[in-house]
Amino acid sequence: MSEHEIDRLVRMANDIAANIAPGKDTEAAELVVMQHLNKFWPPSLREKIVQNLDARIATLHPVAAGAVRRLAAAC
Amino acid sequence: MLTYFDPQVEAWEKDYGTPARHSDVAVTLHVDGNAVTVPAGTSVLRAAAEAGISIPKLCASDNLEAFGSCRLCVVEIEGMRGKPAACTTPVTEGMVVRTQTPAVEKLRRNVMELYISDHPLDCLTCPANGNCELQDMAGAVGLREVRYGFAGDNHLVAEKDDSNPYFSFDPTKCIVCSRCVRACDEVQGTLALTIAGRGFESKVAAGQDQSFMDSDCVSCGACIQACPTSTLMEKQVIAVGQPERAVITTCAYCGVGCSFKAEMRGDQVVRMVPYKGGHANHGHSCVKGRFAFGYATHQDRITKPMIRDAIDEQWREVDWPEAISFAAARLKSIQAKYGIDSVGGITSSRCTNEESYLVQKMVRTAFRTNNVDTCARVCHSPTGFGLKATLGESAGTQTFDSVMQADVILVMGANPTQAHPVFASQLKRRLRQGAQLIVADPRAIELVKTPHIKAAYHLAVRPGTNVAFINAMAHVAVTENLLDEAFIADRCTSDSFASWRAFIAEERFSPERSAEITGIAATDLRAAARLFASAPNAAIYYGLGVTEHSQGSTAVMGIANLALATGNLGREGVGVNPLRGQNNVQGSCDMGSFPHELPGYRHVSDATTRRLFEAEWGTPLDHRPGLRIPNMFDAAVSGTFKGLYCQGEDIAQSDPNTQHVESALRSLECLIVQDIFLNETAKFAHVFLPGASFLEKDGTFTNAERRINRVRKVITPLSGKADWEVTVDLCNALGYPMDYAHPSEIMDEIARLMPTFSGVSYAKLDELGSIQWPCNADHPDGTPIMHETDFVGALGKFAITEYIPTTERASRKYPLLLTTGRILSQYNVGAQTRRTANSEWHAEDVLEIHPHDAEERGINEGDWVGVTSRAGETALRATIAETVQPGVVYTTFHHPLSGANVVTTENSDWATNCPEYKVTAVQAVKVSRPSEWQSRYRQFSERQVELMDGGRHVN
Repeated sequence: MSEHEIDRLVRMANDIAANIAPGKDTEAAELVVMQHLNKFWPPSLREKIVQNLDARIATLHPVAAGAVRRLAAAC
Repeated sequence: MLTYFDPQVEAWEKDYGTPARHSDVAVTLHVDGNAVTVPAGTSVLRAAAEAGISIPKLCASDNLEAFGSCRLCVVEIEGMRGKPAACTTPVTEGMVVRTQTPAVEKLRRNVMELYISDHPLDCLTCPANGNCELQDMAGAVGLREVRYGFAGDNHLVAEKDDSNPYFSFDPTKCIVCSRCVRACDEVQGTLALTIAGRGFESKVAAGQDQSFMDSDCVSCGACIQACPTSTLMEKQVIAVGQPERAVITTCAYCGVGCSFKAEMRGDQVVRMVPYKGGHANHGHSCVKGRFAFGYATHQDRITKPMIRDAIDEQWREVDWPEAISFAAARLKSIQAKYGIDSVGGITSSRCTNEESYLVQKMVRTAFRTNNVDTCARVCHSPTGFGLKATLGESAGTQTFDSVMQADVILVMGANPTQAHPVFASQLKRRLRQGAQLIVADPRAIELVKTPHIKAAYHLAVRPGTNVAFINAMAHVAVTENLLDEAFIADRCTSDSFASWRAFIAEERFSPERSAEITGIAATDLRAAARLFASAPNAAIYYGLGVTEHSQGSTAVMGIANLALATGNLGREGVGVNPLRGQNNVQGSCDMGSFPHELPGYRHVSDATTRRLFEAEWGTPLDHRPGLRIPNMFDAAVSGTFKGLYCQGEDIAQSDPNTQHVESALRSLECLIVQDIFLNETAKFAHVFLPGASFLEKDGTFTNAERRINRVRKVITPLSGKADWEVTVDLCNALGYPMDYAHPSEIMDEIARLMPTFSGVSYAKLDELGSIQWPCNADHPDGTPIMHETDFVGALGKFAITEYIPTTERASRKYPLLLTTGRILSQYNVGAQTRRTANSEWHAEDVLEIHPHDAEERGINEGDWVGVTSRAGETALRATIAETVQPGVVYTTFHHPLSGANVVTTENSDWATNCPEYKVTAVQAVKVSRPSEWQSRYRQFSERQVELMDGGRHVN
C-alpha cells in the first residue's frame, strides 16, 4: 500500500463528504457517505481507509471520518 | 450497379427533387393524368416524383430548397402561362400538370444543348462516368446534337483546385447549378462557398476566391454529394474508379453515430458517403467520418499477435493460439500468486456493444472479479451518475431531431461544431430559423458567432465554477416565479422539490453573488436565465466541459434540476442532452462496463439481477464492486494489481497525470493490449493482440441519442479475427467456455438479460434501420423521447447541488487555468486521424493564450512555451488568441508528445472519479526546447518502435 494510494483514498472520501454533507445533519451525512463508499468502493479500498483512519484523522473531513468509523464498526 | 445490404435503401436513394413538406392540408392534383395527394406546400416536382413520374432536373435535390436555376424541370400547367419550373411551383388543389409534351421536351433539349456547349465532352475518361447526373439528363431529354459548336467563349480552361487532400474541384465541368453553394449553406451551415461574378462570368468560389484549403471550408463533403457532375469529386474515386457496391454501416468517430454507405470496389473502400436513411445524420457527414478512414489500411496497422516477457525486450510475432495461451497462462499465474482481484479489464468506447459486453462478461466470469472499467470513466461517468440520481436513467432524453423544435438552446461545456459537427449543422439550421442560443463556456466557441448565427448570450464561465453557474440559473427561475409548477406537481417528488426550492432560493445563489465566482455579469446571467425559463421549449446540450470537473456529477444534477424545474422534459424540443465523445460511450456504459454495475445499470449487489446473470452465464458472480481505473493504477503502483486486459483504449495518453499512469503500467506483470496500432499504452505491454477497425466486423454502436445502429463488416479483418472473436478465444483459454458464431447471438443474449433491450435483435435493426432504447414490450419500436409520462416508473428528483470550489485554483506559482478540448479534424488521442490527411489541418497541439497573458510573458505567436503544473511539465507552441479569457489557457490532446496529460492532475469528480481535465492551474513561460518528459518519452517511444520492428524482421 503506497502513500500515494492512501492520499488518493483520503481525497476521494473528503470529496464525497464535502459534496454530500451540505444540508444534512452529521448523522445523516455520515450514513449517506458510508452508503456511497459501500456502493462504489471495492472492499479492498474500504479496508485500506479503515486501517488508516487513525493515521489520517487530521486530514479527513469530519463527515468522512465519521463514515469511515461506521464502516469500521460494520466490518 | 450498386448493391446494398439494407433492405430500405432503395426508398432512401430516390431523390424527390425538393424537401418534404408537413401540413395538415392535403392537396390533390393530376400529373400526366394520375391523381396525386400531397401536403400543401409540396412542389410539383416532388408531387410528380411521389407519383413515380420523374421530371428531368439538375439544380434540384431533396435535401436543398428549390432554386429554379437549371430550367430543366419545366412543365405545362393548365391555366398557367409559359413553362413554369416544377421545383419552384407549389401544388394547388385540382392542378393539372403535364410533364411530357412536345413543347417542354423541346425546351429541355434546348436547355441541355446550351449546357453541353460549354462542357468538356470527355465522358469516357471522366471520373464521374457512370454516375453523372448531367450525362443521365442528356440521355433523359434525348439530346442528339449541339448546334452551337464548341468554339467561342467557354470555361474549358479554368484551373483545377487540388488543394484539399480529399477532393478536387474542376471548374471546367461546372454547370453553376449552385447545389454545392446551397449544400454548404443549408446542409452544413458553414457558408464557405459562393457564386462569384455575374452572367457568363459566374463561377463557384470558395471563400474570398481562395483555394478550398485556404477558405472556411470544413471538408464535410456536402458539396461533393450535391454536385451533379464531376466538378467536385473525391480524389479516391478519381484514382480508383466508381464503386461497384455499397454496405450501410455506422461511423466509428464521435457520439453522433452517422450512418454511411461504405462504397466498395472489390474489398477496397472507395469512399464513405453519408446515408440519407441514417436517422442520426440524414445524409450529412463531417471531415472525419466522410474522409478520414484511410487509417484502417495504414501501414502502421499491426496484424499479427506479439508477445514478450518484459517491456525492455524485443517483441516476438506469434500465431493466435500462442498469443492467447501466453496471455491466459500469465493471467492465471498472476491470480494464483497475487489473488483473484489482482487482475482486471478495460472495455472500449470505440468497440461495439457486443465486444464491450463480452469483455465485461469475461472479467466477471473468467477473471472472476468485478475489476472492469471503461474509458467513460474519464468522460461521461458523471452523466450516468447524475441523470440516474435525478431522472432515473443514465442517458440523454431526446433524439437529435428534437432540436428542430427547440426555441431556446443552452450549450454548456460543449463545442459541437468541432466535436459533434453533424449535430452542430442541424443545431445551426434551427438557430437560423430563429431559435435563441445561450453558450456557457470559458472560451468563445465557434457557435458564439458564426455566419448567420450569434448567441444571445455567451456566458464565459470561469473554469471550475459550473455548479455556481447552473445554480444561479435555477435561482433566477425560482425567485422570479418562472417555474413550471404544474409539471413539478405532476412529475416530481414534492419533498425533493420543497427542499431544493428552499436551498436554491438562498440569496447566496443569486447571479449578483455568484458573479465573483463565475466571472459572469449578473445582468447577462439573469437575462439568459429568463430567456431559458420563459421559452416554450428550452433544451440543454452539454459535453465534457460539464462532466470533467471535481463537481461533474453535481453539475449534471444541476442541469437536470433546471430542466425539471422549468418543465423541459418529456416531449420534443426540450430535454437534457449529453453529447458523447466517442462513438460508443453510451453503449459501453449500457453494457455493464462499470465495476459496480451489471449490464443495464444494475448494481452488482442486487441479488435478483445477479441470479439472472448467474443463470445465463452459468457461474457465480461477485457481489462486491471492483476497482475503477485510477484505483487500478494506484493498486498497480502498490503492488497488488498485476494484470490488465485493455481493449481499444489508450490510457497512457488519455488518462490524467501521465507519469503516474506510466509508473502504474510499468508495475504490471502482464499488460494485454488489443488495438489496431501500437498505441502509447501498448508500448508498456507484454501481449499485443491486433484489433479490427469498424470496417472489419459486425456489431452495433449506440450513439448519444441511445440509438442502436448496425455496424456491418465490409472488409475481412486484417488480423483474421474481429475483436469479439479474440475475447472469446481468451475466455476459452482461461477455462470459461464461450461460443458465439456471430455477434447477433451476443445481442440476443443481451436482449435476454437487459429489460431495456429485450425487443432488440439484428432482424429488428435491419427492419427499422436503428432503434433507440428502451425497446421492449412497452416500446416495441424503441423510445425516441424519454420520460414522456414518468421517470422510469417514478417521479423526478431534485438534487441539492452545493457548489464546492475545486482545490485546483490559480496561485502565485501557477497563475493560469489550463482547460482542454478538441478540434474538428482530429479525434480523441488521434491514433486514427493522425494517420490520415486530416493532419494537414492540425499537425500539432498548440497552447491558446490571451494576448494580455502572452505579452506579460514575452510570448509571441509560434514560440515554445513550457507549461508547468503541480503534476508535471510539458512544452507546446503558443498561439495568441482572444477566444480564451485572460487567465485561461487552452490546448487539445490529440498528439502523444504534446503531453497535455503530463500536466493534468489527479483531481476528480467526487462521485465517479472522472478526472478534472478541464481545470489545471499552470504557469506558462517561454522556453527553448521540449520538456524533460517529452525528451524522455520520445526516446522511450522510439525504442519501443525499434523493439517492435526488430521482432517483426526476425520472423
